[in-house]
Amino acid sequence: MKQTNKFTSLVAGVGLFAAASTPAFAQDTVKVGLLTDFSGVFAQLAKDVEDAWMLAYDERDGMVAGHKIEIIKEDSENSPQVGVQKANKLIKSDDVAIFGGVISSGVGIALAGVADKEKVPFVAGFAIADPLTGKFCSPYVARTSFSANALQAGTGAYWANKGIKTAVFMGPDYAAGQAMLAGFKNGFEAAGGEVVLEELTPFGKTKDWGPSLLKAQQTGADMIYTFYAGSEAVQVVKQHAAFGMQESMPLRGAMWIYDEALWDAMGGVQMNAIHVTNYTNALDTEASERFEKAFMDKYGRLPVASNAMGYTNAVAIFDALEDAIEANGGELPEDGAAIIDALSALKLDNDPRGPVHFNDDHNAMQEELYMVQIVEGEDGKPTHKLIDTLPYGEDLPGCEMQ
Amino acid sequence: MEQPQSDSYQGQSGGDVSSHDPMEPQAAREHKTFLLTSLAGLLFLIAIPFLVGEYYVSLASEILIFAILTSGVNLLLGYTGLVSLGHAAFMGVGAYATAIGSSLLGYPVWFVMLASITVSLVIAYGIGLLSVRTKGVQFLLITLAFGQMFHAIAEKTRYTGGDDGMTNIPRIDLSLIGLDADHDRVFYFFVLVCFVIALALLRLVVDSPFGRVLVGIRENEKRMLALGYSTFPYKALAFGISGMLAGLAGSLWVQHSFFVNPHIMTWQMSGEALLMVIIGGSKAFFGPLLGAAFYVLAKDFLSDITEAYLMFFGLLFVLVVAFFHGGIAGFIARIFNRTGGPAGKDDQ
Repeated sequence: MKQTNKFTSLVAGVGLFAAASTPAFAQDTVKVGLLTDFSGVFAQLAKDVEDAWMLAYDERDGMVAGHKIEIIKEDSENSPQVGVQKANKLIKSDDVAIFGGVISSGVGIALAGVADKEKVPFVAGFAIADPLTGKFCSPYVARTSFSANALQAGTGAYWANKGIKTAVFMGPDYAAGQAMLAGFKNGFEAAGGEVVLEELTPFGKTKDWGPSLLKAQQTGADMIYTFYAGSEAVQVVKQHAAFGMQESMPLRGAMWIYDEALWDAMGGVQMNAIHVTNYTNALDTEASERFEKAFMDKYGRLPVASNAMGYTNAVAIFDALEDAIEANGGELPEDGAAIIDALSALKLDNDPRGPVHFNDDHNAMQEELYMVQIVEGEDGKPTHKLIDTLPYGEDLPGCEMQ
Repeated sequence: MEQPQSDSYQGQSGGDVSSHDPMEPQAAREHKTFLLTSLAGLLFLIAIPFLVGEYYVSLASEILIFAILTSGVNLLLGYTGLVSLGHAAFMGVGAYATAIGSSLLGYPVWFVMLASITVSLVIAYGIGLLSVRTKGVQFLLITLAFGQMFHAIAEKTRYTGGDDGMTNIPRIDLSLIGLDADHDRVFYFFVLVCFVIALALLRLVVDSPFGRVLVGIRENEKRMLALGYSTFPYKALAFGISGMLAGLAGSLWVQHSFFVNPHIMTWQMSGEALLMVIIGGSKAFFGPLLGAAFYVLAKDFLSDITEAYLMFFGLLFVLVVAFFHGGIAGFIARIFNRTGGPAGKDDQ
């Protein structure tokens, strides 16, 4: 049967370079799976994560604790079934020490189950559904992004403290939309605000937001808070502008609604919009400048939030492997849980997002979130301007680690 | 009516609906070759875990699970001539019933499996009663609509985690016979046992007078009506049995992947099942198994080579449909007939 030694062309190039620059004696390789949604609606995010992984790989010359890293890429196609099958391949055929990546929450939760049963560590790179490190938490599962609640509750509290008393929530009616709503409401209402209307639209089927925007308008709320992504985000932002509500009832949200990749499609109406994010290339800390420069040198463009998320994912996995191997006398530990323990103990002070550490549920926590505005840059193109920072929210409880 | 091209084409004896003599020479020979090929195939399936690595054993489990689903689909498609786009829903019913029963309510898995199969039979029969009154495109659309309805229910139900689904679903407890189904090889044999029982039952069904009536309906429903058969209950029961097999496949699937979410009930899943049947050969009893094997292995092989594998996959489908008359099974049958080999080998 075919044992795939699977470097794609990019990795092969990088691998050759790394091999040339390291001593020529044979070393054991450590296999790491990059299992993410290369095809499907998250294709762009997956590419962003992959680019960041390769940067992190280059930066350590493809080595971890004296072992060569071999990255094996698999496409989970944004389908839990395919994800489970590919995880089985990585675990049983390729014999990976650990695997990460994954954008989709659905795939992430499925893989958490596989990781827990097969006792092979899995580190989600995005997959922000709360239950991943809540109800479904495991000694073999960690996440380097954040949970929906941490981001949205922090943001909700921020707006309430800024004097916003009433808000309308708009979002797609499925698990992610409901989780974002719950998170925002938690933070916003605890800080004295009130969500006066919860407008959940059918996911993937809504084309006309007119009725929802009209309902929102009638409430006279101070702002609309949204969670939409991709083409839905473009349509909501455009229709909101067409309703002339930008001044009277601004449309706010997190990084997805005003994603950089959508700016062209929005055609200018995104200008001056304000949203929260957990990374922006407008940050000017030492760590973020360094990351920005390294990314620019390698790819010739500025990194975006999903690049930063992929970078944390890869760095955390590599650092955890390093620590776990060193603690085990230069060999991979028998029990994969030791790698997750090492990951949980990491203090990523040089993360481009700001210092990142992990809580008891193995979920990433960062110091603060960033409120950014889309403004015209020096070159006349839209860019982020950092206007404020805000405290990070908390994870939902619910994890009972065996 | 077109006469069967070869006696190896199972169930194409549409002309002999009224013939009940099982011991006529051709039928007897057919029966013998069927038993022989089944036995050879079964020996091969038993040998698999001793020949290949763990990953390919888990792929083989997947193939058998899909083969149960597609054999069920084929009872409608190949034998009765009904194209259903809603079978993923019954797979989902079996999957969710198993997940809820074992993971949320804590019943033992063997009991939950029996319950899941019963529930999918009842639900599929009910939906069959409503949908088999229609034909052709209308039937396809009504099954699609029911499928989407179940998908929507699963997505909305908070109790089962909505869109997120459920994970950590246990596999069957085989500790009574000293085995642990968490091991892939053990689980494979469990799936194989379920597969053999399911296909043996299916074979009994299609060989029975009931199965003959189904074939008659496929070939010429009006003639069946004229012969005095009320075709409606036959079609509804066929739909129910077919849904029951899909439910069994779903129940095995959640145990295989430890996981369920509404994705399992998408109409694309129903479409894939139809593709497997058509590729494998809807006229042959083991066509769906061949189709499932081809589908899973080709996908695994191609996706290893290129990320754009769906393109090649599509091309393969077109080639199979265009040149392999009667799917893979039909192709094999023709090779054996031309070389004078034993008829019926295509069954396996």
